[in-house]
Amino acid sequence: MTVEDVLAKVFNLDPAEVTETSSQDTIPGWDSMGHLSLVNGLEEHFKVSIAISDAMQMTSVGKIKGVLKEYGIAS
Amino acid sequence: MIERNPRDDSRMRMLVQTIEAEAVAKGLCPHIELQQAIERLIVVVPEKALDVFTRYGEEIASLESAGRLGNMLGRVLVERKLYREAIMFVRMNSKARLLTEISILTRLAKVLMQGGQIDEAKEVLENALAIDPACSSAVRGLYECALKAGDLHEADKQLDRLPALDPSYNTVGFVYKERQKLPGVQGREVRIAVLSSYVLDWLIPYLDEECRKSGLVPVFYQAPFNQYTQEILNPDSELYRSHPEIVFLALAIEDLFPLLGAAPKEEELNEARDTIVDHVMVLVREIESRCGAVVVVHEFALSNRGGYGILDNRIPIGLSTWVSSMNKALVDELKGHERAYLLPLDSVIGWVGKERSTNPKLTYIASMRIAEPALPELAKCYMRYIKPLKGLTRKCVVLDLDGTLWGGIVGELGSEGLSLGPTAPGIEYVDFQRTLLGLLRRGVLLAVCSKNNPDDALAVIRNHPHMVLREDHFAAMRINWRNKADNIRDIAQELNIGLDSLVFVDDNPAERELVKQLLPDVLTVDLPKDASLYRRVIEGMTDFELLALTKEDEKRVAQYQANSKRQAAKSTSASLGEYLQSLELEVDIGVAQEDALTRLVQLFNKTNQFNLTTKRYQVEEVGKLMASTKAVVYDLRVKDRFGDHGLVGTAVVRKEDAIWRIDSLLMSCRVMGLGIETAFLERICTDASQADVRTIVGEFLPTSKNHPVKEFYAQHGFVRTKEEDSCQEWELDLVRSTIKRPEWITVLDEKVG
Repeated sequence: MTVEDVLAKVFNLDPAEVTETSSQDTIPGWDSMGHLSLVNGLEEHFKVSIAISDAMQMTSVGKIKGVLKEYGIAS
Repeated sequence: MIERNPRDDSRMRMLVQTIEAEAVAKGLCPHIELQQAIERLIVVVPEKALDVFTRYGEEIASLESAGRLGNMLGRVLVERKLYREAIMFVRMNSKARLLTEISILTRLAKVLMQGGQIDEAKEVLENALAIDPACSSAVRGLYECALKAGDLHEADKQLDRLPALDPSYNTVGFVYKERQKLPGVQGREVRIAVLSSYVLDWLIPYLDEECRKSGLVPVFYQAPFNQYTQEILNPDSELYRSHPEIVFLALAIEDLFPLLGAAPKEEELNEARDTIVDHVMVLVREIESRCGAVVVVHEFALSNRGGYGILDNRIPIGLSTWVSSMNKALVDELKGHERAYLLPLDSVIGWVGKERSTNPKLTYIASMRIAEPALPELAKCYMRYIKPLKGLTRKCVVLDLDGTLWGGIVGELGSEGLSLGPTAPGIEYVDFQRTLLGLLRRGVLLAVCSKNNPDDALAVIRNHPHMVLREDHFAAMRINWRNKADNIRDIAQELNIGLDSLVFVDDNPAERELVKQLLPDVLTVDLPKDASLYRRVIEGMTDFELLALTKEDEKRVAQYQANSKRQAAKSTSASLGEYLQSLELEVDIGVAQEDALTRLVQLFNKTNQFNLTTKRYQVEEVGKLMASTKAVVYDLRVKDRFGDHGLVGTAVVRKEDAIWRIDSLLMSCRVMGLGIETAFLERICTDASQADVRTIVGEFLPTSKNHPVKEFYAQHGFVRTKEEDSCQEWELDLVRSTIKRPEWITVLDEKVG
């Protein structure tokens, strides 16, 4: 699964609808509770623990990928 | 020219020629390998490629890269919006299985659905499920199709399938949210309040799921974040307005005593313990005094290491000692509270694993103290309280023999050849039998239902040196070659319990399927193939819990064994009359006293068949009725020559001006059909006459379970006065009519005013 797939699953979307620029502003359901779900889902899927400050910055697909890269995860 | 393919028959040659012709027509270089040529064809003219796939499906399937080609064609058709062709490809795919990438199918289905082609979308999703039966996104799609088609029943059914396929919070949370949109789901309501010192919102979807699996429709109340104290102390709070039947109180020690992590000193610990235990007890008492709910308090558990390291249990008071002493103090305090319980949180999170049960980040960001992996287990633990509260406790486990109680088939291997003994293989079955014996000691009945020659099977049960369970442990046995559904129905009848009180355990999936289909009320357990897991499966079930252990529970097993002897007596007595005479029935009817309260509440909540109004009174209500001068609560005890049945019936009579009204009358089905109910009614009428009351009114509220008593009042000469079917009233004029007590019953006399 890619970052897009995890997002699609968490927010019940078609993976094709999720793009690099999808963000908190474009995806319905990506509110503060949704964000926790997403962080939790990404951590479970990529087997990683993301620092709080990094997790707070992951507000779009592009930014998520950027953060994951810092943790050594190519996605 | 296209290179030769290893398979060189005439059809393959035709495929190659077709591809060649297409390639030439499109001006593609034909000097490539066949598979590459097909790939190019897909990219350039996918319609044509589909045509080739339709004609030469079998040949393409034999190519090494068949799956890659199939997925490629599927993807291209969907991307180029060639939906009609894509559907044709999916139809072809149901046989050939060339398109295996589920996400292509779910994407296609989504587009079709958005375009209003719901049947086609469903077809595509069914295809995805045929490829991967555990594909939760396909089931989500089917749910959306049903919703769009307005078929709410189907939508609900699809939602029900989801959590089993994917138990992650994501899916379970989705199901919970969607269920709120579906109105009018059938089931009994249960009102649950969850109060916590931390955020426990993610538990609710899991609890909702568990409730619905048991046929309950939960209504939740959650206090706002960290408002539990105010909610409990304020008599007008939303908590009390939600009229909860059960309140869960989840307080974390870290929230009540933040210094915990910093190796606190002895006097700090002692002081904190007293304050915290007092605080919890104030809350419990407050809830109890304001509503009749069952209160379940999470015990305190350490979620981190902390303390003094290896010296923690050497110093006067270390952290782990301190936490246990606090839980012990709570246990002692709660002993005086009939309806308050301490939930064994440490064993719940211990079972899942402490490390996985907390996620420090979610605790810091969102005050969540229990993480996703522990939530299903915690929800199950909550069900251990909810099920008995709602009368969903199962009373009997019906067991298969071969492959279930022992390894191997006795008819083939003989008693000596079976896997059953102190070493592996065989020890796993011995351990499973011990677990079942443990259930029996808690008052759960065991029965056997097995396809075998009775002599072979009985020889093992009676003589095998390592059998833990023997003939005496089984309340009923059906060892024959009839179908199991019939046998299980028979067992229920013999034991006089409903099918919904039974659990069926069999290692054979075919037998399980039969029972699931023919007897859906029976809980059929899906045993794993590996017998070393049997014990865990049974111990993980939440269906055997009781909110209180009464003497009757402990005696039940002996009672049912006596019942078997009674049945034997029935077949040796020439007539029913002689049989009833031979039982030497002795009935003791009286006004219920305080010490009977627990058992009475249990009867009110468990009795389904012989129950005229099925009013589920709780402790508080029964206590009030017992204390009232306007009501009489009767209790009924029964003995016969085979044993003591104990307290098996109760009635609530409300005294109105000129009439007595039978508000409730119920009796354990173990003693049905012996004329005891007539003696009970006769006693109530006699008491009424002596109090100069002329008329007795009996209420009857029909349910799906109580048809055995449909004619109860009619049979005793009552006349129907209120015509409504759902709430009937029957009257007996005590001046003109009397009820005759059956002559085979001795009633011990005691006056009621």
